[in-house]
Amino acid sequence: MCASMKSRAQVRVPEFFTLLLVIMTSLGSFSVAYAVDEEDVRTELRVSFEAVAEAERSGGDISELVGELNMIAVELESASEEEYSELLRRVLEVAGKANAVDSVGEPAEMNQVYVSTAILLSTGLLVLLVWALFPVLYWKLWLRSKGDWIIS
Amino acid sequence: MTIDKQISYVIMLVILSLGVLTAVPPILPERVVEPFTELVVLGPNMKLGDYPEEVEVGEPFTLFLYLGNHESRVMYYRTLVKFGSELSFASETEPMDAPVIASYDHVILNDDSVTRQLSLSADTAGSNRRLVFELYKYDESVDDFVYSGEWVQFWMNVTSPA
Repeated sequence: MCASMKSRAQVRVPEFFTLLLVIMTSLGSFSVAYAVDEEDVRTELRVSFEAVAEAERSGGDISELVGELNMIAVELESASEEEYSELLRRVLEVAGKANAVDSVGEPAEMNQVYVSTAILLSTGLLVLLVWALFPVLYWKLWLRSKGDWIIS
Repeated sequence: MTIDKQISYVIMLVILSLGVLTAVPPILPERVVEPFTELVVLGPNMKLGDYPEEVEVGEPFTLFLYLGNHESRVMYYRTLVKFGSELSFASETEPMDAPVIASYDHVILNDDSVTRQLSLSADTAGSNRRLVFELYKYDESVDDFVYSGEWVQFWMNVTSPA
């Protein structure tokens, strides 16, 4: 009985350390998996650029975002490993802002179409008014200015 | 046709022309005659010419890179700097097969430009070596930088340190 308990305890100690080792290794690999490297930043930079380009196509104002992306691209050339996370955060921030600009850009583009349509409709209305009212107006003015003339 | 009709037609024509000229251009897509990018390398004094012709191995020399975007859209550029030998071949279709000594990425708005100072150095000696700047543009459809066919080169003599 006593021998059996001892052997169980002997088994549990190595098991405990094995388990500890597995947990530590897992934690280690977890942190490695989430460590940001230069390629991660470059990949996200490309994704952000695509978002910014899409925002531009939608008519949004992207000048500030392009300035920030360009700055990140230049800083990345000489960045250290510790700085990659911060650069990645900034790249993702640009992507988020680009998506917001994109959704604002579409109505802005539509507004331009509405304004142009309104100008064309107003032009048509003005032409109709001139066509319908100008002869009357013209002769009224003519009579007012020359109505008291006497033909001799 | 009476005089009032004649005048009214002229007025209608003027109004119609003004209306169309005001309303139509903003809704038409912007017309670009020929999209292009300026790739210029300036000497140490930010001028064309005055380029270093003879340098020592490892000796840093200064140049300026100028990129101008006239592609009618925002662009993501990569400029590769390569040091080739006398026999290296550079062309508009194929990038030069030589080691890359520097790479510069830039995101530039349409009708905007970037000028930056470069500090370069040669790693091996040789006469009539070609320093080539190649321009790559990011292509969203392939998710990579594609050689644009634009390149600039200088001939340099690289000497061993005394």
